[in-house]
Amino acid sequence: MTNTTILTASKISKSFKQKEVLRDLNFTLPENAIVAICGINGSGKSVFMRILAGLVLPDSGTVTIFGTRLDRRTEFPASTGVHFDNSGLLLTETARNNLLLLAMVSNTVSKERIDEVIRLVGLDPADKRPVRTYSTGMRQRLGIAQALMEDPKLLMLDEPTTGLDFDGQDWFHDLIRELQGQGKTILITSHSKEEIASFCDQAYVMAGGTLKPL
Amino acid sequence: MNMANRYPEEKSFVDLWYLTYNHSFYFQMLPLIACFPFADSLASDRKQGYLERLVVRERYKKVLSTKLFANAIAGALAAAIPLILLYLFATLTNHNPLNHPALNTVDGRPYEMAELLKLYHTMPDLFVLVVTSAVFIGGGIFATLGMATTLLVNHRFVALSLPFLLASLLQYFSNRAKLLPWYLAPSEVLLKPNFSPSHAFETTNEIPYLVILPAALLLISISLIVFFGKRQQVLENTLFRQKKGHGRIDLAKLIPAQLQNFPIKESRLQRGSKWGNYFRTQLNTHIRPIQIIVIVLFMVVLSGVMLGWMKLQLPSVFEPGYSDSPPNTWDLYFRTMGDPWAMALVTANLFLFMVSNLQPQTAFGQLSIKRLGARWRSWLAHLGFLLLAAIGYNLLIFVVIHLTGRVLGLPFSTQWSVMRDSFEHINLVGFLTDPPNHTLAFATVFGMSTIGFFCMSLLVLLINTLTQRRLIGYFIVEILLVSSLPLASIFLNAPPILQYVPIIRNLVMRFYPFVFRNRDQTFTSIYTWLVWLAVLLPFTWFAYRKQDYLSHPDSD
Repeated sequence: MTNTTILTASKISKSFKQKEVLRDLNFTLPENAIVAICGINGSGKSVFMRILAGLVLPDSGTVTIFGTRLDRRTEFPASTGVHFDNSGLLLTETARNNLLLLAMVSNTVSKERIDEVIRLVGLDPADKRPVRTYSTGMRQRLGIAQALMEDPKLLMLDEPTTGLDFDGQDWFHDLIRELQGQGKTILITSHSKEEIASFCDQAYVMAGGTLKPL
Repeated sequence: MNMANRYPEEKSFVDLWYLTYNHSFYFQMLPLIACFPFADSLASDRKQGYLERLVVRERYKKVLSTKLFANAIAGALAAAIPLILLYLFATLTNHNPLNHPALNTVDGRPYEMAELLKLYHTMPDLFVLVVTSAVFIGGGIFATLGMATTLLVNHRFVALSLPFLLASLLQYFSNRAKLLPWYLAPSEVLLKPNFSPSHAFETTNEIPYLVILPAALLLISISLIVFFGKRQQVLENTLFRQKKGHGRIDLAKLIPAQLQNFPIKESRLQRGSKWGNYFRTQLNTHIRPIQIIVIVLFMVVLSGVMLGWMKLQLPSVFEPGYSDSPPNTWDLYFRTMGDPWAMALVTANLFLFMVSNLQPQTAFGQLSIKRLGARWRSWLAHLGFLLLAAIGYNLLIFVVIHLTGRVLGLPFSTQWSVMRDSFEHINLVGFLTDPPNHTLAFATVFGMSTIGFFCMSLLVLLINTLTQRRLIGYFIVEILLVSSLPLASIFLNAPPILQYVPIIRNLVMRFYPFVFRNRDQTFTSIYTWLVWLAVLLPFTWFAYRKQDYLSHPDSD
């Protein structure tokens, strides 16, 4: 972890109809850190992650990532891999085809990298089965693979260990530490106190629409 | 036929009630209305795992039967309540005598069906009750069919749309194309016999035939429940019961993999622009070969029906030696594209169905957009997709109709046939005077339908984006399109500008009041579509720019 801040969110507010989900939320993310956000279901963790990823527009407040403010000119942050609770996979396609289609859009990934990243998460790139037949844990692994595919500097993972078995969770923790060793910054949401205590540099709890240090 | 002019002011409450029921195309919308409240709940419960939580607390058979019963009642009530409200409105606001002499031959009264006619004249309240009961039962049957079909294909889209599609096709092929017996048309079963060209009920002996369609639909529903509704099949989401020595079979395995998707080319990686590749992924993920096969099959059947219709109307011109220029494949093309019913219920319906799932974005689509880098690029790609889809779809049906005509014995020709001057043709003769050529006629028909399909799909896109639901846009636009058929009659004597409001008038060349179109009328239709574009483009742009990509059940 360094002292350099790569992500700043200031005074973020977001409401859906009459319900205020986030209220004047401030947050900073140091470079090369593993930071966790926890909180009860419906507290706004995923909405906040989606705001940071540019997928949800805040009612007010600003997000700056790698020195670039997210606005109309830059709607989505550069060099950021995201994985959300909804894994974002085409169920009728194979794992490799899913990543191929996404790689076509990002336009920076080779097929060798796709195979490499599928192997990295413990899946087989030659598997011809559609994702529909995958277990929840396998889908989580593939979701993490798509987030890693473009080799981003910042990873935002929303409840990445949901559906993973004990071995899978250990594998994930090892992977996260290895990625930190490569200089990446990781922001995750989690429900597990043990998980947060075991490998996170910082942790926050989301309550009442704001973040407080844990 | 100008209903507004011919209908006297002296109409009674039952005249008002029955005329509104007949002219509102309520029978056409009934499957949709019946399925909306509850028919998709079994599919939703299965996908969300709620059904599993129910069956550990209660016997599976009881859960399923309760769900089916509640769905049937909800569908029946949803179908009948609007008619009951209409009855209350009509009785409260209309106190005219029932049997005014001026009304004896007015369209809108049931004059073919003897028993119903007696009721109409002597006990109008009972007549209303009989028709409402038919609608009540029909609603329950369609709702049951909708829920039962999700046992075969576990998707809420199927529950809501399949009964509507089936009813539309039955209505068309039975009532309009005469390819199926009259009693398979939902309008007949729902006691709307007056405007049927079949004039079915000349004797009361024919009334028992009305049971055939409801019984057939019920039988289909029961068969689906019996064969695909077993506990193991439903909970494990497998189509057939697992037996010893047999592997699990699901629907996806019955369709070859290459027909489910286009193959993805690895050579596309790191080539072309981001936007271009995103556009290709949209094509890859939204246009499936199986969809194209279905469209081709429907259009082959439709154009076959149209040819049969042409032969029925003008049998002499098809006789050998009747003319030096016999009917050719162009006639079939113009006839098929010029039929308002075929356009509303089949041709445009299939297109809208095909492009209705662009928005809201799936979770996969959200990841693609993040990689694309800007919402406006996604908007532009979707516009391009819809325009290309409209052009491609029209070209496809152009080719399919010509080939079908050729296979069915019509010659290809570059000349107008003897049918040029008949009502069964495009009726553009006055418009295409100098010189009358197919290219200009084709360009006009193709241009109007392409821009029309594009505009309607934009409206679907806008509604889906704003509501964040896939089905809503398709259903609303299809309802608008079907409603435009009676609306065209209602607006017959309206100011000229209002005559172009019904969508159907700007999609097909000949429809009230444009039995013979002239150049100005055609251009006005195109200007109308340009107005649609001028309104929809900025609205869709704004909706895309403000769109939040949230996780929701419709995503995957």
